[in-house]
Amino acid sequence: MLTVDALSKTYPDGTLALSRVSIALRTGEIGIVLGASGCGKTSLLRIVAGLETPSTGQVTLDGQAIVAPHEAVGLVFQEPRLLPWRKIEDNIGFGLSGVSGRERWRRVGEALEHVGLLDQARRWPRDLSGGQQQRIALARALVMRPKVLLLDEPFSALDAMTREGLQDHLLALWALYRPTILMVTHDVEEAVVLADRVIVMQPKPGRVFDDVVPPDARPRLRSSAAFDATKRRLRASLDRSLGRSDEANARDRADRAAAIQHQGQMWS
Amino acid sequence: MVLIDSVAGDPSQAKVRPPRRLSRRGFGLGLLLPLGILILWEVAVRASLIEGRLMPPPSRIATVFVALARSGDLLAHVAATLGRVGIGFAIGAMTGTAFGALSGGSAAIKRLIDPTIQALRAIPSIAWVPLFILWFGIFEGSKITLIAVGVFFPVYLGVMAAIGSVDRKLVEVGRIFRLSKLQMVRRILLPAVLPAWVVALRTGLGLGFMFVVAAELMGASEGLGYLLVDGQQLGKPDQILVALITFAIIGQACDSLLLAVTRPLLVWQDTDRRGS
Repeated sequence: MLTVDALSKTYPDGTLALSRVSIALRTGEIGIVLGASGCGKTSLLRIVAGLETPSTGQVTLDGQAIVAPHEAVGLVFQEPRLLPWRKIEDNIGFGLSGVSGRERWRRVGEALEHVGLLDQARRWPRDLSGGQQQRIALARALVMRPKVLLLDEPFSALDAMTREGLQDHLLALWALYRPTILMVTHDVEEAVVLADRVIVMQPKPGRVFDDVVPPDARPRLRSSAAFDATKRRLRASLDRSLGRSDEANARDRADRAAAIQHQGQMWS
Repeated sequence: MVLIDSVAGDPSQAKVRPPRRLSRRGFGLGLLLPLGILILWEVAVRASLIEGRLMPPPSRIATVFVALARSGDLLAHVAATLGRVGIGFAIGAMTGTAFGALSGGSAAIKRLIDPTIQALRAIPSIAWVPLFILWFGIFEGSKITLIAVGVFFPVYLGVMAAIGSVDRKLVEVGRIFRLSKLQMVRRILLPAVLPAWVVALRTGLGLGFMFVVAAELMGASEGLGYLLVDGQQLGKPDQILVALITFAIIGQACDSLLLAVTRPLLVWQDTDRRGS
């Protein structure tokens, strides 16, 4: 079980990024942290990864405190961060230096096969597209067989088609390895596709605002009515977390629709 | 191994290699301008448009070049110059790399040594000559020290700046995989600074050749710098031009050798191969 207990973080310049954030994820659960920019999502993830220390509170995995990068915790960053001087297979095997040669290459080959890029093993990162590089970053984290996989908006820089493909791909990989996943995103649809639970965060300072469990089981069809209902539920929660009233949101949406209609008339 | 077999013979791999025919054509294009100048020069001297005594034609320079080469004198001078540059470059590059790594790797060490090194860098290296002659004598010691000083500063600055500009995001990848300090240096920092280090070494090598001339001008009995002084004192411009051309050839050859030695380490760089 991954437990974030009353976590607060104040940066040296006095900025309070997180205030008493508590989250508990069961083993194998997918928790999505949803929030607007500046609500402390990335700070939370970096603390759970052991890259930063909290001001107060603690993170524990199965009762063991995490205070530094831990072998059971993998992290996929917002950008792939592949090492440009290593070929793809060497990037994936980067963390396996303590594993014997034969076993190492077996695991690297398996990971490459799982992300569908076995034929790219001997290429350089520069030869791959952004989506392929992010799949390699996923494989690099998963090859370590982490109990917990942290994902920091890993698909945010990709186009919509690639993003949807990778979301499905992530679910397929999760089904194979079954790690506990804590992922941050600001994309409501992404949260609905992936989550067992969605933790909505409120900014200034970052704190938990809502905890939503989508009612239907995965896989969730993006075109289904249940999917839309969960999306609306999360959007409303997100709006309230930003202090925006339902009337104001309705006005915004009407303004946006009018602007789109106006543009359409100009081009027709 | 399965992974290698899976991509063996992949035709798209060939795309990353520079096309050989294009590089030959590029080489030919590079020769066009100097050949044109040489022909114009020869014609101008033969037509008495230029004074041949002070500006000997290419044919005359070639004759002197061949004569010096056949007698073995040219080889002796080249060997003396290359020996000085080689030793001075090795000392300057090693100390520059070590001090640059210390300054780049530790803010405390940088605060301790960098102001002093920057102050020393502000002194024109040639200004050290009288002191070096007093300290190390007129023979090899002072010459090699001068070259080493010339090489030290660009290598020091290049390595220090390269370490300071290593992408913090890649260092975080190392942290996530719980690398020790030594592993972090070996697996992240060294490969990351390698391209900038090669550039610093090339700059240092260029300065090494600049300073060997100064060193040999200040009193030598052999070396290409000596050949220059001898040519000036005896009124032999053809010999001066032979020395200059030889400098250009060995300087370019040494730079190409350095590039060839380091190229296998930098094949991963995403550079525009059309321009290289």
